[in-house]
Formats: sequence, C-alpha cells, structure tokens
Amino acid sequence: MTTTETALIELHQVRAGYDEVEVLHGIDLSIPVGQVLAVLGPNGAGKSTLLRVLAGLHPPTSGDLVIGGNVMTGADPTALALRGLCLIPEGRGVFPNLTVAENLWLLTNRGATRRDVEQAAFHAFPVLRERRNQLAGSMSGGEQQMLAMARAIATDPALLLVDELSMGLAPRVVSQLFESVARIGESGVTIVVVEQFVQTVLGVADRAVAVVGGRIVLDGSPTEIAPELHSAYFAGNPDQEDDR
Amino acid sequence: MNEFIGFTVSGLVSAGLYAIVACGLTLTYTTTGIFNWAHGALVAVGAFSYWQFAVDWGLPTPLAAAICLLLVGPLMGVTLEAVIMHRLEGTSEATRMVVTLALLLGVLAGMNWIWPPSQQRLVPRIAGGHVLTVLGQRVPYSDILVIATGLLVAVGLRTLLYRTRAGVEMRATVDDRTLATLNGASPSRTAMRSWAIGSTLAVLAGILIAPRGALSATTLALLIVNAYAAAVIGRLRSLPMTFVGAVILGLATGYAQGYVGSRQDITGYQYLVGLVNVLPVVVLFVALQFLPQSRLRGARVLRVKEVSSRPTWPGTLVLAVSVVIVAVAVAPLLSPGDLNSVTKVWGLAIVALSLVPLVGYGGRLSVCPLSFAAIGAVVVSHLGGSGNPVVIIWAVLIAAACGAVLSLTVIRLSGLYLSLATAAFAVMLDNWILTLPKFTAVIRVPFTDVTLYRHEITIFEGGSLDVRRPSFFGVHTTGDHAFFIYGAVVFALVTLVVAAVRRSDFGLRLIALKDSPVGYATLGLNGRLTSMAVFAFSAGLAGLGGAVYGAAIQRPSPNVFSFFSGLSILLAVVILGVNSIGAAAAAGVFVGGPALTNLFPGLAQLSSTLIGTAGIGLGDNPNGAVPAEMRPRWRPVPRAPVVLVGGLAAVVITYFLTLAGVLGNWTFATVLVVVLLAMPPVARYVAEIPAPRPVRDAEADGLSGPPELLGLTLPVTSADLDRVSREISVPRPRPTGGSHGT
Repeated sequence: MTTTETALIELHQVRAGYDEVEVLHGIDLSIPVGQVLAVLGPNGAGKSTLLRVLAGLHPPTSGDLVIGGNVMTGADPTALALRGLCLIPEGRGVFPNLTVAENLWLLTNRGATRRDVEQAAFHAFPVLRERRNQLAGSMSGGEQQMLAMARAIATDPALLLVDELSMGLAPRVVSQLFESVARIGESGVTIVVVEQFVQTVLGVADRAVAVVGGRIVLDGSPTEIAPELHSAYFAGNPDQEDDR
Repeated sequence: MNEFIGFTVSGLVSAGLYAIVACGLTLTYTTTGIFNWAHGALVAVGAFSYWQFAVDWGLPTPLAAAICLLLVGPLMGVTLEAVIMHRLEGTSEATRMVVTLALLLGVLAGMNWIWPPSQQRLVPRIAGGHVLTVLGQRVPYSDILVIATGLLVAVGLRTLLYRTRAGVEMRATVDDRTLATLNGASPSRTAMRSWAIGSTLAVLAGILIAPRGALSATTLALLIVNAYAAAVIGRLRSLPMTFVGAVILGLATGYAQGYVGSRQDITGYQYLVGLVNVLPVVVLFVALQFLPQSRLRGARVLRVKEVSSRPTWPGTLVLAVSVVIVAVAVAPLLSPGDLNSVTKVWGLAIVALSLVPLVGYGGRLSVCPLSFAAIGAVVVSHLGGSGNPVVIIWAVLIAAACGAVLSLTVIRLSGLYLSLATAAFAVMLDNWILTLPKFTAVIRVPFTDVTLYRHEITIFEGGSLDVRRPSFFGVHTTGDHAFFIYGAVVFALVTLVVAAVRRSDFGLRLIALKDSPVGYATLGLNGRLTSMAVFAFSAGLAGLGGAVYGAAIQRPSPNVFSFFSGLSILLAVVILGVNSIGAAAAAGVFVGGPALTNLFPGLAQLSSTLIGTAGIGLGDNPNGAVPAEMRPRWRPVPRAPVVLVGGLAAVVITYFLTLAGVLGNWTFATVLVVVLLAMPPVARYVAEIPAPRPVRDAEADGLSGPPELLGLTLPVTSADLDRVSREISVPRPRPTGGSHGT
C-alpha cells in the first residue's frame, strides 16, 4: 500500500458539538495522502461527528480543517464533493425512490459520463447490472450498500470517508465490501473508515485511531492498536481522567 | 354523433387544463415533498395578472402572456421558496399542509384587495374566431391550444424528471437532502427550480382558463381543487398516470355536463345538476379509496415538534367560568348592532373546539369542520321549529353519525390524503347536498307498498334556513343579549367536556395513536375504532357548534358554511394552538367577532389576510401562539397576587365606570389591553422571575441529538463489558482486581 507523508487532511484542535453539548474536544489529526485510516471507538465517542466535520456537513465550533494545504473550515459540502471528497454515510447511502441507473447518474457530477460510471460500478458489483432499472429502495441491504460503495469506485475520489459500512449486514457481505475498500485503497485513494467491526477494518487499514469521549486516545498501526482497545474504551483518555 | 364529438372535445379541453394544473402540483410535491394547497390560488394569480396586462393595460396578447410566463410565474415561485417553503424543512406534514392552506387563504384575500370582486373581468379568447373542423365539429383554435399544451406539459415534465440529470437531482433531493448534497447537488437551487416551474405552470393554466368566463379568484381556486383528483389518480408521483387521470376526469365532466347538466328535461335534473358540478371531487373521493394501504408508522422521536399538554381541572374551570363572566359583563356594553353580530362568536368557538380533539389530540387533519356544523344547523332548523332545545341533542347525534360514516370511508387514510378526502367531502356538501331542493325520504318494506317511514326533507330551501333560538323552562334566548350569554354557557360546558376527554383514558389513547400508530397497534389497541370515535365526537361537537351558530344568525345561507369559511376557523385554531382549549375560544372571537370590522371598516379582507399571514409563519412555531407564547408569559401572574388583584381591580373599576356612562367603550377597551399587556412583565418583576423562554418546539426543550452524545452517564456493569468486548471482537482481559467506571 502506497503512502506518502504529504498530509491530505489535517485537523487542528477541532471542537464540535450539538447545541451546548461538545462532542469533539480538540482533535488533532493528520492523514497522509494514500493512507487508509480506521477510526474506532465505542458508541457516542464522536466518530460519526468527526466524519461529518471532515465532509463539511457539521461545522466545527473552533479549530481548523485543512485539505490539501488549504484551510477549508466551514466549506460547503457540495463544494467539497465537487473537489473529490466522497462520504458514504451511515446506513444506506442511496436514494430509495430512484432506480440504480438514476442513482449512478447522479455520480456524473465530477465530469465522468454515465457510461463510464455504470461501467465502473457494474465491474465492481456485477449484481447491480441486473438491478439497473430496479428502485434502490427495493433491493436488499447488501445490494444497497454496494450501490453506495459504487459511488466511491465510480467517482474516483481524492478522499473517501466511509461511516459504519457493516451496519446491519451479513458477515459475508461485509467481507465483500471491505475487499472493495481495500482495492480502492490500493489504487492510492486516501480513506477514512469509521467502524465498530474492529477486526475486519483493522485488516484493511494502514493506521488506526481510537476516539473515546471526543478525544483521540490511541493512534498507531493496527497491530499496535488492537491489544490496547479494550482498556482504551473504558479508561478513556488519561488526560481526561486527570481533568476530573 | 356530432353531439358526442362536441362533448368529447369539451371534455378534452377540461382534461388539458386539469393536466397542466395537476402536473404542476405533482412536480412540486415530487421534488419538494410539499403539497401546495395554494396551487389553485397561484392559477388565479396567473389569470388575473394576464387580465391586468392584456385587457386592463392593453398589451398585445403574446407580450402579456410572455410577461406572465417568463416573469410573474418564475418570480412567484422563487419568492415562495425563499420566503415560505424554505422554512418548512424538518416540519411535520401537518404543519406543511396548514402553511400552504394559509397561503391559499392569504393569496385569495390579497387578490380580493388588489382586484375587488365587485368588478366583472372578461378576457377575450386567444386566436378568437379561428376554428378548425374536426369530424364535422367546429373546434376553436383556443381549445386545440389547451389540449396540445396539456399534452406537451405532461410529456415535457416527464422528460425533465426522468431523462435529465437536473430532474433526477430534483427527485434525489426529496429522497435524501444530505446525500444529494454529498453528490454535488444543491438542494436550495433544486427547490427554487421546482417552485419556479410549478408556479409557471400554474400561471400557464391561469392564462388558458382566463377566457372561459368572468374571473373570480375564489371560483378559480376552488375549480382547481377539481384537478387534485387527477393528481391523486397519479398518486402524486406518476406524471403519465396524472395525465390519464386528467383525461378521465375531463371526459367525465364533459359528458356529464353535456348529457345531464344542460338538459332540464331529464328525470331528477334538479338533483343531478349539482352532482355534475361536483363530479371531479367525487372522483377525487373515490380515487382516494383506491390508494394503497398506508403502513403503520412509528414516531420519529427526535423530530417531535408538536406538544400536547394535559389540561388541568382548575385551569379549565377558570377558563369556563371566565368565559361566562366575560359574556355577562361585555353584553351590556355592546351596541345592539355589535351584540347581534357578536352572538355568532360562540358557535364558531365550539366549531373551533371540535377541532382540538380531532386535529390536536388525534392528529387527524380534517378541513371540513363547517360541513358538520351545517348538518347541525339543518337538523335544528328542521326539527326545532318552535325553539325546542331537545333538538340540539339530535343535532349532535346526527352530526356525530355523519362523522362516523365519513370516518368509515376515510379511516385508512392519514395525513395529506385524509385532508384531501375531507376537502372533497366539504366541497360536495357545499356545491351539491346543501343546494338540493326539497325531497321526500321514504322507507318501505321490500317488495311491498307498506311504508315504514316517510319524511319530507328540506335543506336550505329558498336559499336560507330558519333556525329558531331555543327556550329552556320558560327562559327564552330569542333576544341577542340572552342568546349571547346562552352561547357562552354552552361553550363553557363544552370546554369541560373536551378537558374531560383529554384527561380520560380515551384522550391518552388519542395522543398515543398520534405519536406512534405502530406502538398503538402493538399494544393490541384498535386504532381504527379510536379514529372513528374521535371523528364522531368531533363531528358531534361541530354539529352542536353549527346549531348555536345557525341560531345566532337565525337565517343562515349555505355560504356561511363554505369550505373556505371552515378553512379560516381551522387555520385560526391551529395558529393559536390546536392542542389548547383556550385557543378555540380565541379563534371563535377572532373569526366571528366584529372587532376588526369595527376598527377597520374599509378592510373587508383583513381577518383572512391576518390568518393567512400568521399561518404562513407557522413553520417556525407549530405549537401555536397560546401554548407557546401566551401561556409561558402569563405563568408568573398567579405567583404575584398583588399584580393579579391589582390588575383585576383596575379592570373591574373601569368596567363599572363604563357601565355608569362615565367612561366610553374605547377607554375601557384601551385600559383592558394595557392591563393585559402589563400584568405579565410586572408580575415577573415583582416575583423576581427571569424572562420566559417560549416553547418553540419539543426538540429545543428535549433531545437535540442522539442520547449517547448528550451525556447519559451510567455506571458500567460487568454485562456491559462483556457486550462491548463481544461487539468490538476483542477478548475481555482478565480482571486484575481493579474496577472500571465513569
């Protein structure tokens, strides 16, 4: 897997929350180009909020988001999407009342033709070709997630953000989807995967961070991280303990 | 044969108009998720604007049409999106419907101001005089234009939505706004585009319909309700089916008008002519019956915006007693004319109160409250010739029975479809049933000549009813003074009944059913039965309101019970707080009271305009003014007895000085308003209570995000550790004697 040390994304002391409740308490993170980063953590740790901040869907209350050396804090998600950021949101990231073909049509926003998009998507997930004119909402959960992942394959993103890919899916389908994540990563795309299915995601990641209580409490390679996870989830950030 | 072709062409012209209107409506609904009840009003704006440019200002027809289509239509759509629709994101379906209903009322009131209905406005036909002969039938070019335009609009919109990326983007935005954004779509641009196209189509329909008779905003808006049937046949999604619906509807009305409506010699003509006029709404009602069964839905916990608080007995008793005391106190101050005018307030307030259990507690948005009121008034008129008060019970029972029957036909509908069905019922009643001539109801033993029951039924014979005011044990309410107090007493009693219902097991069931039909069903409770019961209860109350309202007016005509009048009451009570009993009283006073007419005699549309404008702002505060604004402001007053007693004393002293003729009515009114406005802040100051935070919505006061993000801190148990270990697929370490906790 090719990684360089040039940072594609940097977060500097990012804080974010909902109303008066702060969820992220000053996140510092640098993601080099081409790295597959796994973001782990228990429920409510702030993983999805972190991903929403990266995608421009949730503005941070303070701190900076730097993409490719440019400060993009508070940037419009549409603008980020057009610049090559692709978020596969939690749950099924598809339009249920549009057909598979129409869902794929929406992926032409970065200049690719419908034919190119369909070719790439059907190559990765042949079952979608059979479902081409079927409403996305009428497909199985796994097929819907494949369609969602097709966005990542067909739009040739610079940065792929994946939120809880495995949610509600059978292990066999999860393996298939993570294989495609690994393939995309091998092509040099920077990927951030938020996942609770720890063993599977650590198998494809170059690096992992554990977020607990809105702070990064562990940062390292998958092999370094795995044995520490349990205690990290419950001990939390040592600094946080000290704060109490 | 020629006759048949003529009726077919006439039907196809109607079909063309219906297609343009229904497709525009379907487009905005499909792409924004908002059913625009005001679409008909936009058609009326298009027709009147075209008249303004082409006739009043004398611009050439093509130029006038171009200005309307390229400027008025798009501008109106963009303004609607920017000012009103944009704020409806995240609100409930009911709030969206009420806002567009308010828009309908507001636009109509505004139009009546700009283009007074007293003036007759006629528009010449486009390409007037030119005809084409089709199968021996002379068809004007203008008719061909309408048919062709209808077809083009349907094909064009279908192509736009399914064959262009912009159209797919519009549909995608409705499915998932956030995901569409992540795909590079701009939801605000998409919505703006939808409203601009929808509004332009409404203007196009207005231009084409304008030359077909004298222009009337209300008639046009109501006529367009007919086109809703076509949209429902297309299930508000499919444009081809909408077009098919428009053709069925157009041909049905064409043949019905031709074969029945214009032939006075056929048997039963006088009973059928009204049916011909309401045929499209009958089709709408029937089409709604064939919609697929809606699935039970659970509540979206984090998006609950409407709050239904439980009325307390002391609070309700204070309200009931206050209503009677105010009525007794105010009656002597009013001039005979004002007193006569104000007698109708309580009937309307009872009708408004009938909506509280149905719409507020039960979440069933019915738009036909005055239809049941009309039934109540007819029953009292028919049976209570000598002012017998017992007939009021009959009015309640018969209206309740009609409500139960209606609920049986609409029981499987909810939300928008229920509102459409009740609108269809209201229009059917207005334009057909209430205009029926005298008829005889006969029940015979089958296959014999034995008559079991025979009764002559009169509904608004001669244009108005004769409703006598009741007498109780020698006490007559025929005078305005006595009737005004009688109305207040009836209203006060009804508030107690409604409070008892809300506090009962039945009230709890209504709230449960509204909050989560699926939860209700899984408890083994019968949602349909509960729906039917609340429909019947509400209709009974509306019938009682109609009996009181009818007796107040004494000779009511059908138009006082019209769909639009009912809409004013519904909107007033929703704006003031459809869960609040006090709001119903305020709605009755606002809609029926003569205050605005007295203050602004030249502004006949002020009441409707105010209701429309306030309703449009409902998206920001779906709980209504009484529970969200007034109640929190007044809460500190009882906690500062000095202020309460002082304020009341000031009002009582001024009242007696007014009664004695020392002060004028306006002085009393001014003092009253000043005291009412001053008491809450003074009480807050005296009792040292911080300024209230108005209840905007439950979300603001409750959960604003997932509970795990909002800090639920609980001790970690051993079972939790096992579960988490299992979920993260990491073996749990052996205990070392320490313990985890948060």
